[in-house]
Amino acid sequence: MKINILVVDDDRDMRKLLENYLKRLEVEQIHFTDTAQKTYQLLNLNDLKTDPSVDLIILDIILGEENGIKICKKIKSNPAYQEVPIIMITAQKESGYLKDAFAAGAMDYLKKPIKKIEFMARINSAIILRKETKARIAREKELLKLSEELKKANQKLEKMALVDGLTGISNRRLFDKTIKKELKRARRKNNDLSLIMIDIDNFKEYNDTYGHQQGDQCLKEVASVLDKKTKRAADFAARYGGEEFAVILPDTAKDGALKIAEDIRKGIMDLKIEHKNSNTSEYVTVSLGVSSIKAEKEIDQHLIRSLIEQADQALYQAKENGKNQIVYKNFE
Amino acid sequence: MSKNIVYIDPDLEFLIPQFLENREEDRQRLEKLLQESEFDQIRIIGHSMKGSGGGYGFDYLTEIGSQIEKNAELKNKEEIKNLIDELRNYLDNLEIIYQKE
Repeated sequence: MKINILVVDDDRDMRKLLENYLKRLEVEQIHFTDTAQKTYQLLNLNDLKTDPSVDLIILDIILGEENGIKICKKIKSNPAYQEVPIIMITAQKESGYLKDAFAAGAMDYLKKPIKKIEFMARINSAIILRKETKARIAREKELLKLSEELKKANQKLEKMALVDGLTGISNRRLFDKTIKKELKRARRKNNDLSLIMIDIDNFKEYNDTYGHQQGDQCLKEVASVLDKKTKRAADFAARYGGEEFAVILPDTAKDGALKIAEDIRKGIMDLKIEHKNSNTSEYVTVSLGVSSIKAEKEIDQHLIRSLIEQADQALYQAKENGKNQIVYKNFE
Repeated sequence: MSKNIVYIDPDLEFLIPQFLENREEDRQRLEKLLQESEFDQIRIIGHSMKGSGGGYGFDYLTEIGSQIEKNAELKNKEEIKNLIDELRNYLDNLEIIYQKE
């Protein structure tokens, strides 16, 4: 790890003396300044987001007419230099300033005349401390980066776990959660709830005729119609499995549900997806089974299963009746 | 006349000629400044000498620098003149021995 040091002193003989000692330590670069202005410039203090340009600052407490304590305060007011140690150098007589120096953020001080052994030992400790601090800051940065990445990955996974990979609408897992949640809400508010089960007609023949890639494209287009036709915030469309889809319509009774079902049926017809081996139409069509419930009983798995079963039976009936149509079955 | 023998760390040997040249310069400036009664400038030179002298091993320079600083504050022209003479005497009769402490 490279350590850069700044010496702020207006006396050239002091600068020479300190340079001579610092060169003997594990130091990459030694910078010198002799005025407050040059110091602020070298440290890039006007930029609050700067990276510190040095790792340790040795600062003479009285710089001619300029005051080292002021400089110390100014350096410490930049967040980038919060953890950069400042060591003050002071003549004996000025020790009254020490209290102010520590208050201004200095880490240590050395008295003039500088004694080699003491100087080397103190600076060396500061360098070791700075190296540890730098290593810690680097670790913290790395951890922060990793935790951001982890958070993003988790969000992505969470989304992936609830979205159907092919069509981009909700998947079966989210359907299971949503139907339960919406039924409970319907019971609390004493509202109706409708469920539409939708199945693409003659989809096996479609795949056999046009291939699976085209089949996937068909699924995507059907899904996008469902997405468009479920406009209210609580309306919910999901891929239930294979070529089967489901739509949950909270706060919706029979008439409203039939209207939306018809909307969907027409919407699919309007796609005009060619299907030459369909015995129903020249285009891709869907059959729909609708069921509505006024949830008065406790919502449990049994009730949820029954509702889905009713809609499924209605869907089966629609297929039996010749496909491309809607059948309604009341929930019993 | 007896020499002023000073023992200096060999690590600093290469810095000493320049350091002493700077002190000779200081002395000449002090004489000029004293004639002009520029006590503030005199004080700063005394202060610097006090700060660096002992660091190089010249404890006497720290001592005399300190006295120049004090007397500049008091604007004591007579005493400063004596101190400058003392400084010249000291610098003219220096003998340096480089040896480890």
